[in-house]
Amino acid sequence: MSDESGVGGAIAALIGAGPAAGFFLYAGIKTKYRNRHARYKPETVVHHELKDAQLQEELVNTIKTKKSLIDGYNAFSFDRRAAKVTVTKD
Amino acid sequence: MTSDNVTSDNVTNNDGVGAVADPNSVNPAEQFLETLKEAAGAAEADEADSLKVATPAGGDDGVNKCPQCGGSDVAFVTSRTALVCKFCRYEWQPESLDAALGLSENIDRLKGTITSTNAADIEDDAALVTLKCTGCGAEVVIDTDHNLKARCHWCKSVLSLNNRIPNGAVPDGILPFRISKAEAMASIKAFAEERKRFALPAFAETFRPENVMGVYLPYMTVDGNIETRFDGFGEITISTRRINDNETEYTANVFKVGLDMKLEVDDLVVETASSKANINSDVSTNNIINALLPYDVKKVVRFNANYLGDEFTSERRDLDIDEVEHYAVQHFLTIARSAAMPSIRKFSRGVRWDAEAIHIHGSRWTSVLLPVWLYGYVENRKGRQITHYIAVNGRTGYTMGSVPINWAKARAVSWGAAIGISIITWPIAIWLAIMDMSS
Repeated sequence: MSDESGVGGAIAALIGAGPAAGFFLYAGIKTKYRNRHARYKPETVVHHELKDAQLQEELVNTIKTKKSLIDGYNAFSFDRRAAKVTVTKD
Repeated sequence: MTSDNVTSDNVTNNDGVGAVADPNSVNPAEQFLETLKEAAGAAEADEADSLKVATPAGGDDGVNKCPQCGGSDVAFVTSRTALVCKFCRYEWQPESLDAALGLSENIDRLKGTITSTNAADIEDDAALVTLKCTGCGAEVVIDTDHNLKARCHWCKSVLSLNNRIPNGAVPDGILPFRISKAEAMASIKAFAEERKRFALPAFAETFRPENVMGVYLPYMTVDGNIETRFDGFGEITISTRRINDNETEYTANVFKVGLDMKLEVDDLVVETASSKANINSDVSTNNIINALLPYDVKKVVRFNANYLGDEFTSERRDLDIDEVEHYAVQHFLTIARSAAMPSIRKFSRGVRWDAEAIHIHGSRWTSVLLPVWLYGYVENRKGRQITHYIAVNGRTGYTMGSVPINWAKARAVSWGAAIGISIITWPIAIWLAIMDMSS
């Protein structure tokens, strides 16, 4: 069984190699020339001081899953806002 | 709170040029706090909550004279980032606005929206301002959409706008150019050279790095005293089980997570020209200019129109604080999300934030002009015009740009690569499949 899946995987990789190369080359050209991803990154360049951080956590469930990360993982997407945002002022 | 200006005695002399701070004067930070207390005490609780802080008096409007000899021909020298009198060669630099206003102090005590003099709301949109020449009395018109100084046609005196005017054109501070035009041209040329293979032919043919322009663009620096609350879920792996070569089963604890933080943010920068503020614009690659940030805004000096000289132009601010505040809020939240990372490291399978809340206790806004070397190219594509910029940070020399692409060539080469590689790999794949079936 594993041999078959190994050969199958190799065949799929060989078939996909050409189209993948073309796709990544096109995407690479767009990235290098247009630089659409370039932006001000205040999270790394603006001086800020964290004065206090209080974490609350409550165990709600235990699950079995084949996924290696939590669904909708977004902790590293600093500039992408959460589904709900509230803004208040003094 | 009343909206009266509260005088802050400070360090400029009456020659109209910022001088070095008197070491015996009151600490600017304490002065600023006293200013806040006086304003709070004088205000009525149910009025508008905006506090103003007076920017130190700069040069007079009109002819700006050398503080040493009184000569009116003053130039800005990029290599020394200093103003120089062309008559007596006296050189000087206005003091840092950050030091004068205590802008890095007491962020944790900020309450309400505090604006320096020239960050106040725009009251009049007219770009043309008329000055009476103090040399000969003639009337001189300055187009503040592009400059803040002009030469009198009669007596050749240079007239400047240095103090607040209703259309928001004059800022509190300016960060002078440190990168010369020659250096900017070299950077832009090198940037375009690396991208000539797939560049649009019309761009390559008309590319003239000497056409780069030195422009002061309007921004505001923002300090923030904020609190945030994030809510979501986090997971921690308890155990793993290998199902087969390709699959693993994870057993994990799921937690409901909440995180409260208090943050002080110092010198966030937001764009205040509507033509540049939208970094996702379809008609102009504004994200390129946005990517030049940050600047060393601690070195911003009290505005003096002589910094513009004959070499540079300026763009007028046309957005008020309430129109750009949402950009600042976005950035505050981005900063807070990054600051949250150490607190959630324990969640080995990561965290998903479902809700963000931010409470702004206080913010402090200062209007500034920041230096950019800008090269623009307008591409006409399918009836639409897109302006591509290659821009150089006028202080650090950092270069970023967008070069228009020869799409036909890019597609042809990409297809060629895909087909060329497939010509080699597909026969191998077919052969492997045949071998596998026959065995």
